[in-house]
Formats: sequence, structure tokens, C-alpha cells
Amino acid sequence: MRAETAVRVLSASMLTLCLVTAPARAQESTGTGITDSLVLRALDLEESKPRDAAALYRRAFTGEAMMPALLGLERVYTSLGLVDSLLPLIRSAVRLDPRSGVVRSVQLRTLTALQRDEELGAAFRDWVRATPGEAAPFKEYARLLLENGRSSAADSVLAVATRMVRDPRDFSAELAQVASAQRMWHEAARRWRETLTQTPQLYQAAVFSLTLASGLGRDSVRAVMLSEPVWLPARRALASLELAWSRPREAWLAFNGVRAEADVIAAWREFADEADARSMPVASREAWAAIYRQTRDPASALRAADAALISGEAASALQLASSAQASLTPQLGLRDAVPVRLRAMAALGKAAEALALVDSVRLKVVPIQLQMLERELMWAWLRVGDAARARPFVARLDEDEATALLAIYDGDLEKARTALRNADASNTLLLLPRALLSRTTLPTSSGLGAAFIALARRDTAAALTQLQSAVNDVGDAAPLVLAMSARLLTASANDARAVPIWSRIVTEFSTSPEAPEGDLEWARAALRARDGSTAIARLEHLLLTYPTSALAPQARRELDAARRMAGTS
Amino acid sequence: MLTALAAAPTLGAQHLLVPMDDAQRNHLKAYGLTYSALQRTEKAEWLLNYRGGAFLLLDTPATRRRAGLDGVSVTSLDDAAMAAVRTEMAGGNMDAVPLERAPKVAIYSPPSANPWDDAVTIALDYAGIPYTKVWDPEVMAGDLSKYEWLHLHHEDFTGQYNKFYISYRGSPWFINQVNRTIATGKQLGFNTVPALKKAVAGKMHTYVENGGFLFAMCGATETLELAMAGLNVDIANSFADGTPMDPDADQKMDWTRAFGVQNAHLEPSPLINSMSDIDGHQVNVPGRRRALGTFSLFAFSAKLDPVPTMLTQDHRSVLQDYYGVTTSFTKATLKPGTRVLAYSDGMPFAKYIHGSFGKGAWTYLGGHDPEDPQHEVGAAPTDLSLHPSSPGYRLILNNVLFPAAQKKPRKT
Repeated sequence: MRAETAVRVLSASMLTLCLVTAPARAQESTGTGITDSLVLRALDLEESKPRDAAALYRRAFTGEAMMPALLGLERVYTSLGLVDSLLPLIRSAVRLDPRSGVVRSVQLRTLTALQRDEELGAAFRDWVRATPGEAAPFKEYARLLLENGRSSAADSVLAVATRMVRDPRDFSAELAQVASAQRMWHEAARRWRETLTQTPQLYQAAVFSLTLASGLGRDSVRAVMLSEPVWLPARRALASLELAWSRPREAWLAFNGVRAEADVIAAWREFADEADARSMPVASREAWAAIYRQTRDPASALRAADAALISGEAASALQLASSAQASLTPQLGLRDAVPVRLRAMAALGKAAEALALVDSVRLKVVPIQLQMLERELMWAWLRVGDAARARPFVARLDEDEATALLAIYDGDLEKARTALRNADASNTLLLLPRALLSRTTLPTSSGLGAAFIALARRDTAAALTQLQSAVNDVGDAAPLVLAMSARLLTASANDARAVPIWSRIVTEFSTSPEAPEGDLEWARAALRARDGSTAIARLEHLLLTYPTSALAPQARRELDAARRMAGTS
Repeated sequence: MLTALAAAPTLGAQHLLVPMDDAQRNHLKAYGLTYSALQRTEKAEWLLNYRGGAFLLLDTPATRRRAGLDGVSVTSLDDAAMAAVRTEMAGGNMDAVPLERAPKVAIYSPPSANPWDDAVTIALDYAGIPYTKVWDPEVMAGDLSKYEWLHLHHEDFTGQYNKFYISYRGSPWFINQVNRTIATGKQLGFNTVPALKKAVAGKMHTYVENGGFLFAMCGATETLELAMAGLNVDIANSFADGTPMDPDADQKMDWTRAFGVQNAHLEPSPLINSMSDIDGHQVNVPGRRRALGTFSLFAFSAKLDPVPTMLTQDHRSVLQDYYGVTTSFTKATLKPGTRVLAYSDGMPFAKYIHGSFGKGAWTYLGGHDPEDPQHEVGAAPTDLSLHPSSPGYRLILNNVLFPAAQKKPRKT
């Protein structure tokens, strides 16, 4: 086992510590003559003519713009590979202002780049002497040591620092970085929590640093961040960490126990946006819904409803969108909430409610809006297998996908084939009809149509009856129709009826594409019945008979499991 | 042994060639296929350097069936094709080694699970090669003589629990490990864990000396060497045995007892997660840690040097490196007789080493899990069905079949 790669840890250390120190430098440079024309001209030339820029910076160095000139020279000389040319300038700058953090930082960075370790140590000690009791020298030196993978040395520097400076808490972020670099996750989490109590704005740095934890290290981080007393920045950091660790439900649960006050709601909003950006609608839905409960802000309810629809929670989406509409003006409700409600109703197969909703707004919307709403309504009817109600919309809207599905319901396979030529291939409702039509030349089949309608109405018994009656009529598609029946039975945990059908597929249609699936499902049913030997026999049959099947890798895994269950190797 | 290996007899029936180059779909299960043929006392040959180190098996229904079930690619060879293969092999750096029996395998593994995986157990389970787990009581009872092959993985034979107390002293699994090991030691009559582990290391020393074959990975490599060389020296810190390490431990080490290492320096600090300077990468010491790169397998003469050739058969010669508590072996600490099978590219470290000791042999492979370069405590075990052609795991399985090439049992 190991701690972690130096590169990753160092990258984290560099970024997070840079976040701490960079603003200070920027402020200082702004205040020391950024308007100086030499510096401005040099800035323009840095990329294209670095040598000319260097000459301008050298001229500016003697004036009031010494600090920005020195920083500019550091950049330019680094790009030109002339870092050692900085040293005489730094020495004169130190003589002029031995307490300047900018000059001293450039000095330490330069000596580090030149690998002059002894001079580096001496420069650090000189800076400490020049600024007694201040934290800056220790912070900068520790940061450089961390950047170079010397976390133990950085730890030692900080240990000394905590005894020499006025407020040892100044170093909590650096100590947290060191602990992270050393992969001491409990310690790192503890120190980050301590840091966040003083500087909550460093929560991003904490997240970046702790994301690298894995396995048991994550448990340590969770324990610290969830510990009492409840502290929002710690919980917020943990929520982000859980998102980064791909645990959206746990991410939202990190906020458990936090009282919903203004700053907490702001944190929820940030979290919800983060979850949306990471495409984690489960976490996003929870956060937006919680914000809505606290603020009654309809926009939050609609965001929650959208996230709920994406995560397959249409009932929740419907409820949220309905609540949002009640809080919106009629116009905004019509524009923003009604389409979401309709989509949710369509997904839930609540076609009658969808119709009522469309009727209630029919006279209040412009034609293009009405067409959009009717489209949702059409799909609601199609989803619930109500061909008669869907038909006028299908005729009016003329969508290939809807036309194909309606033709299937009507048993008009020929018309369905024609419509499918131009239909969107990604429509999941059409996957099975498309597969079926490619295996049979039948022009019509009222039995299949009735079966698909029954499936849409979730009437499993009727679907089974219709499918089994259609088997003998569909030619080469017979094993597919049988497999559709068997899948229904397997899904409803009716192995007693499913297994004979899977068995029939394997024996009567052994060369069909469904035969390997038949073997696999037969084996799984046997495993559920604790019949290891049958399971092994079916899986071995699959592997030996269909070695190139896409199911073979899965079958090998399940064969190993079956053998373990049966006590054989 | 060289003579015996070089005179590979021609098998008398139809054959199945198990290619081990890129034409093979499942390299790892191919080892299990060959092992199962040996279990059925069918003769087999290992065609060193031919098509990635192919196997030649008898074409029997049982072998074909298992190949089909395991998804192992095989090709039927008639006499003419067989003759062509042998002619091609005779003209190049290739040779056929007869594999005569399935070696009995023991894995030294604690009875309860630790929060890390064991690459060899994973490899054997996946390939379908049977093994027996042994632990301190079995080793101390002399059970090792029942096996031709012994594997060690993550154990710390210095008795210091891999110095995990630095980071994990409060973790339940670590506390359990400590309690369990102390209890085992007391049950076997040892006052301290370092004393117990040294005694176990001594049994392993004798096992190899008497003809056994030992394969170790990760931390077991380095700590076994330290435990054997430090048999009469206190090399453990006080948290492990109640007394500090002997300040002159370095000078008192008896390296003649070690298999492959000499003149190493022990890490005296109990707060630095390193055992010695044997390991080059020092993964758990941030200031010393070396970045991972690649390692390259050496090419050996199949006809003159069959043993290292067997151990380095692979369809890749440059492999991605991976960390372990011991990742590599500093060249400066290797004994002159130690054979380096793979070097860490661009670094003064060996990755894979081998040697003979007494009547037996040993092999050390640095690192923890060839398919998880950053494997951490608590990480999920590697699923080899997602890495069926892992070149790193092949090195482990080469070692499993290596004892099958011995003409006679080497242990006494």
C-alpha cells in the first residue's frame, strides 16, 4: 500500500496554497505603480518579445514600479531560461525593502528554481529575522517545500513557525496541506475543519486537497466533517467531496442536522448548481426541493422538477411543478410550469390528467405553444396504449415516431415499417418494435398490436396471452416473441412459467440471437432456486455453444459464482 | 536441470497450441488451462519465446472443453504444423520445456481478511488454479514441506505491521490485526510478534534451502530478507516488541542468511514508514518517494538460460510500474548472485529478481497489484475479468508454472 503519488499531492498543494497567497501579491502590485508606462509596455511585450520586455522592466526596476518590475522580470527571465539573472536584482531589492513579502517570495522561488538549497535556507532565515513574529516567511517556505515533495521538511518548518509567530492558527491551512500530502487523512480533515472555522472561503481548497483520499481515508474524512458541533463549511466541504466521489445521495445527506438559515440556503444553492454541473440530478433534486421548501421560490421548485424528471422521479417532478405553478403568475406558470407538468404526466402515463391540463390552457396559449403541449399529450396517450385518443394528434402532428408506434398498436406492420425509415433511431419506445419488424415479413398482425397495447397498459397477463398466440404467426421472429414473454415472467419473478419458455428458446431455436439469453436466464433462475448444477450446465452450454456471444463474458463471471455456490472449482 | 529442460520430448498425439501473444483472448486463464492438463497428468510443453511463451497441450476433449469455457484461444496442430513449429523454434532464441506435474501451491495468508487484496490469490482464483492457505501455526508445524510452491504477499516479517500504526493505529482492522497476531504468537509460545515472525521466516528459509520454491511480492520481499538477516538482532521498534531497535543493528545483520540482498541499511525511525533502503521507490515516505515509470523485462537465452526465460515470458516487454510498500529493489543492495529479471527504467532499481538458495529457488516481484498502480488500503480488489490479458499478472502466473518444469521434487 502507499500514500499517494507525489505528483498529484504536489499539484493539490500548489494550487491550494497559491489560492492563499496570490491575492496578497496582486494587491501589492496594484498599489505600486501599475500605471507606469514602462511596465505597461513591458506587459504588452511579454509574450511576443520577452527580451524587449525584460529591457523595459530593467528600466522600470529603479523607479517606483520596482515591485511589478521585479515580478515581470521573474516571469520573463523564467521563460527565457535566465533565472539566475534575477539574483543581483533581488539582492538590491532586499536591501531596499527587507520586509517586503513580494521581494522575499521572489527570492525564495528563484533560489528554489536554481536548486541552491543552502542559499534558500539562509534567505528564509534572513526573512524571518527581518519580520519577527510574522507568518509570511514560514508560509512561503513551507509552500515551496511542499511543491518540491518535501512534506516532512514543510512539516518541520511549520512546527517551528507555530512557536514563533503571534497566532499559530495562521498555519492551519498549511498544516492541513502537509497532512494531506502525507495522506494522514484524519489529521488532514481535522486541520481543514479547523481552517474552515476561520476562513470558510478556503472550502474549495479543502475539497481539492481531500478529494485524493480513498478507501478508509474517506471514512476518516467523513467522520471528522460530520462530527459535532455541526459546522456548515465542514458539511459543505463534505457534500462537495461526496459529489467528487460519485455518491450523490450521501452528498446531500452531508447537510443533515444543519439548521436552514440564510447562509445555509446559499450553500444549498451552490451545492445544487455544483450537482447540476456534475450531472447528478439525484443530489440536485434534493437540494432544489429543500430550497423551495424554505423559500417558496417557484424557480427552485422548477429546477427541482427538472432534476426529478431527469432522474426518473416523474411523480416528484409533477408535484414540484404543480406547487411552482401555484406561486407563479398565470403567464409564467403557463410558460414555465405547465410543460414540466405535462412531461411528468406523460412519463407517468397520466394521459387523462394531461388532457385536462391541456384543455384548461388551450385558449390561453398561442398556437405554437399549444402544438408543443399537444405533442406531450400525444405521447402521454401513446405511452398508456390509448390508440384512439392518440390517433387525432398523430394525424395532426405527423411525427414518424408516433406514426410508427400507432401503426404497431393497430397491427399494421407494413405502415410501421414505412414510418420507421425516417424515425429517430434513439427513441427507446421503438427499440422493440424495430427489432421485431426486422425479423418478420408479416404485413399485419392484430395479435402483436394487441400485445404492444397491453404492454403499454402494463397489463402483463394480457400481453402474455397475446404474445403466445402470436408466436406461430411471426416466422423468424418467434424466438424474439417468446423471449418477450419470458422476460415479462422473469421480471415478475415467475420463474416457474419463465423457465419452460427459456428452455424452448434454447432447444427449438438454438441458432436464434435469443438462445444465449435463454441459457443465461435459465441459469439465473436455477441459481435463484439454489440449483447450482443446472446453473453450471446452462452456463457451460452457453459458453461452449455460443463462444462469441456478447453474453459470454458475463456468463463466465456467473459460472464462477455458480461453481462457488455448488462448491466446485 | 538445464540438460533435462533442454531435451524436450516430442509428444505423441494431436496437439493444441495455446498462443500467448496478442492472438490470445485470455492470457491468465491459459495458465489455468495448462495447470488443469497437468492435474490430469497430461504432458505439456512450454514453448519459451515462441508466440509470447505459448503452451503445447494434448488435444483432449477435457482440454478443449475447458478452453471453451474459459475463453482461452487454442489452435489445433497436426503433425506437419507441429514439425514446422519445432523447426522455427530450433532456429531462434526459443526452446520447449516439458511441464510434468501440477505443483502443489500454498499461500501464506492470514485467516481473516485485511483491507487490501493479494494479487497472487486473485490471479490463482481467476485462473482456476487450486491452492491451500497456510498461516503461522501451519508453518511452525512444518506443513510447508507438503508444497512445492509458497507464496508470500504483504506480510511484514520484521513484526512491525508494515509500520501502518503511523497512519492506522486507530482503525478497527489494524487493531484486530495486532490482536490477532499477538494471540497467535502467544499460542505458539512467542512473547513478541517480531520473535514469532522471525521464527516463521526461519522456517521459510529452511523450506527454500531444502528445495522449495518461494515467490514473494510487495512488503514480504524486503521484510523476509530483513528478518532472515536479522535473526539475532533487535530490528523492531518499541511499538512492536517493547524495546527500541538495536542502535548497532546495521552492523550486526548477517546477510549470509538472506536470499538476494546484502548490506542494506535499516530505517531506524519508528515514525518513517520505511523498513530499509532495499526499496527504491519508498512510496510511503513523501520526501523520498520516487515517481512511477515503467519497467522492462530482460531477454534471456531460452536454450542456455531457461529458468529466467520462463519467469519472464510475456506478450509485453515494457510494463507500467505499480507501487507497493516495497516497489523495487535498490541495485546496490543486491547480492552478486541475484538475477535481475526486470529493471525500473531509468532508475537504479530492479523490479523483479530471482535466485537459488540451497536446493531451492526464490523470486521477488516488487509492488502490490499490477493492475492498480496506486493501490491503497481499503481499495476494492482488482477484478481480473476486466484485465484478462494483464502482462503484469502473467509474471505471477509464470512463477506458478515454473515449478512444474522441475524434473524431480526439489524439496526434501
